[in-house]
Amino acid sequence: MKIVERLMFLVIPSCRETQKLQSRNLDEKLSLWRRSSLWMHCVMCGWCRRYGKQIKFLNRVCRDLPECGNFEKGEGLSDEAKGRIEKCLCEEKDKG
Amino acid sequence: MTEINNPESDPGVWLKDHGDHLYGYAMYRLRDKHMAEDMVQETLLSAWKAFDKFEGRSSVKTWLTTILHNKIVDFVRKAARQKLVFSGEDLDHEMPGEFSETGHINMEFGAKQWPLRPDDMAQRGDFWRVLMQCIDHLPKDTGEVFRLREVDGLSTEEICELKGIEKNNFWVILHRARKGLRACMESNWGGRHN
Ligand SMILES: [Zn+2]
Repeated sequence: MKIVERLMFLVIPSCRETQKLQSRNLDEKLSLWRRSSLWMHCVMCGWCRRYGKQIKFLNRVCRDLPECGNFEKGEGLSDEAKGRIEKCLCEEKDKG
Repeated sequence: MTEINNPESDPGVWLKDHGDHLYGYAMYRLRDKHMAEDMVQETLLSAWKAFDKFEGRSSVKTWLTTILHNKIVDFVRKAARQKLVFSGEDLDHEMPGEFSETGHINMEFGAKQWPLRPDDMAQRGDFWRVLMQCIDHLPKDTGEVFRLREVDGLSTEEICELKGIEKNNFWVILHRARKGLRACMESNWGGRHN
């Protein structure tokens, strides 16, 4: 059993390595070898499977942040700034 | 013939309906009141000039946000050109006892199941606030590189060039950022073991 385990460690990356690869996998296409080792680890390890899904999800929502972030809840534009922008838009409209 | 005033094409209405959203996003990214106000104004002006190109495939809000996004990215590209210095210690960030000797995760540090399905989480009003806070909670330079990559959408190559870092360092920084962000979201979204 010990020998089999040792052999597995040679082929299958540890959780530490897996998490690094999972992150890198979001930035570039990994080699086939790396992708398979990632896959092998995740077949056996529920923690890393879940970790991988969660960071992938967080990456995706960050791209949506500009549109979906609830920025309206902040202080918002001041009345003074709104007036200034409105005036500028009107001037531009008149020009056009 | 009576001219029908389509509210969709009136920049004054855009300002009223979406001004605060645009301003909030610009503030989040630029942290400067005057710059954010100018960006909103420029966005509405550009949008108005390019209105004939708006095909109504997306909502006005999406369209305006995209225009602002491009302006912010242009600005950030110029402003981000500031070399980073990382020490090795900064880079390898692990909690004591997180991994075993062989590099396998210790259960108590394992990713917990989140209470809601990810897509359902994003529907909750609070989700975005917590997400922004968690990004802000990352160490300064780590958070900045992460924002450039994931919020602004710059390429790996471009960020490495702007920040004067090697790709290997870039990956370590991003790994660290994602790990920190995930952990922060988990504790603020009440993950549970099962
Ligand atoms: Zn694992």
